[in-house]
Amino acid sequence: MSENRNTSSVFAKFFWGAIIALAIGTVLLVAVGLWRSTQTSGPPVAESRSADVQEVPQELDIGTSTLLDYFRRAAGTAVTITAGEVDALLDELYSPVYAGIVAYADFHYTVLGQYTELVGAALGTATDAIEQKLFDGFTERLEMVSQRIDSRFSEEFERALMDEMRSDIPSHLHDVPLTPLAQRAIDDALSRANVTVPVATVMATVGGAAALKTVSAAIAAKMAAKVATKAAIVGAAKGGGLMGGIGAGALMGSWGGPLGAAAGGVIGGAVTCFAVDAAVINIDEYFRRADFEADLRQTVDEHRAVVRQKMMQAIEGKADDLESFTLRALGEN
Amino acid sequence: MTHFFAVALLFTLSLTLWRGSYSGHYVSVLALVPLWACTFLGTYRNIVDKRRSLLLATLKQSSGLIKLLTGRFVPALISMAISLFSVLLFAFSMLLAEPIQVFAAAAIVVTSALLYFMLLRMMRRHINDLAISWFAASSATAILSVSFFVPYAIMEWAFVQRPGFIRLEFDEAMLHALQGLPQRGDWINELFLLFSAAEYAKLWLAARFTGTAIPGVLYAAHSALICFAIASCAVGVASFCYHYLPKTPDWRTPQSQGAER
Repeated sequence: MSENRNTSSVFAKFFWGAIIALAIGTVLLVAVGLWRSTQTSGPPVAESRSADVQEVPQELDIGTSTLLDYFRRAAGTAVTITAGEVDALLDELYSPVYAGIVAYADFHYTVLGQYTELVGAALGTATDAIEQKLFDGFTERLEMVSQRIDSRFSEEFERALMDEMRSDIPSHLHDVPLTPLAQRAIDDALSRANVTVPVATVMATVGGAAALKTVSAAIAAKMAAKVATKAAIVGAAKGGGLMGGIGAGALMGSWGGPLGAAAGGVIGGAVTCFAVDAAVINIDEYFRRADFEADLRQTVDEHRAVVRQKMMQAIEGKADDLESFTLRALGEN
Repeated sequence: MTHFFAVALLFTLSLTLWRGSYSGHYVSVLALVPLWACTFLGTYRNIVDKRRSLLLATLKQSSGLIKLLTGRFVPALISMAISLFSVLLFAFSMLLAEPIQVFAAAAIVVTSALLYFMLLRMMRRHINDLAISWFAASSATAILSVSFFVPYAIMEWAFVQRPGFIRLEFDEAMLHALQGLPQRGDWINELFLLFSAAEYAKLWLAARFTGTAIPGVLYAAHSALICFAIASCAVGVASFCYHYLPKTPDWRTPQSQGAER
């Protein structure tokens, strides 16, 4: 029993000794913190602005909530400026696509183009062909545009943050270095602005190879319907003309005997086919080329609208990445 | 009440000093030593008592095995593992905790200690002296862990602010997360970098898979673990106070020295 009491006594002494040591340590820590804050930092920004005292401290302290306000406002400014530049960048991005529509229409209204589209529709290669003709290099250009948006956001965030701080901090404190804590928070925010979810990553899902396949497939489907309609018209026109062409060819080749008549018939038939195709295509181009180009333009416009919307969301998302959130709020978004 | 205030005092001072001085030097880990030692000694004593209760109920009074099977080595290992895990996890969570998390942890500590002391008082009529402390400790830890983990998970879900960078790609998010802690390279820092990586990886998964069951499962597991760790620490320290501290400090009643509790 005596041994137990001794053990208890030792442990009790240890406990209260530890409590005293911890209390002294805590008091010292608070004292050192207070001493350092009075020695090294100036008054908080809000106070120093209104004070008449022009005393310059060695280090400038900016409170966490003030810093967060700066970050929020700077991110808002960066979003506004960067989003304002999106349309110009999209014009640049889509100008080769719109130019490609005219070139594609030229190809579409040729006999070769007609047969290529027919074969493409039959073999299922039309989507790739359209993607290659209209969206050649689009993914790479989109990535470059996204990177430019990322870097513009980062630049504008830094500039806006510096402007916010300069306008808020009294001029006589502009050259005073910040406390390590404030400086680290600012460095951290600037570094985060550089690596917030890149617009390119977001855009890869909407404007990337997979999405281009979708829009090209939509165009290919429309194209296949048009080509099929035209093939039916051409077929009907050929019905009468073909027999006449073969007959005329055979008559002209008949001087060479039965073989000559057969060869003449084939050549006559082929020439008639080509002539009918060319005539129908020319008539179709005359009446419907404008509609065809408008249809393609509308499809590209729709794609551009989706890309623009996602780009705006990605830019706003970059501002969100600089702010904290709760998991509940994230789930509600 | 002396014991209860002793528990509250130890937690407050130890964790305040730890949190306040960690960014300065790794020596700050010394602030956790009293907390760990008390948790270890309290838990150890409870486990030893439990084993002794079992031995005494199993062996005959005349058996020589009673003196041989003291049951101290395994309890030492178990209590070492429990106290190290609980104190380190608790200390790490307090390092990054927001005020609401500190408040929740304080509520768990206070409730655990109060429940332990209440159970000691309530069960005294029914349970042997040798078994009362471990019974109260086990019950208090279990009740607290079970009853607090749902509110704690809700608090983590709805009120704790998460850093926006966690929505970046995994590598970038982890890079930012690990930059948040001091990069000193000492052993405690390296250990907490591991804790931190696990914490932010869990948060990254929860943020990435919002709308699925993954965040709920992760945060339920996390909350259960944290509640258990905090309750274990609190009950361990409360047990230490119950076993080794006189109810009234010696300096107030000198005549109480030597008196048995």
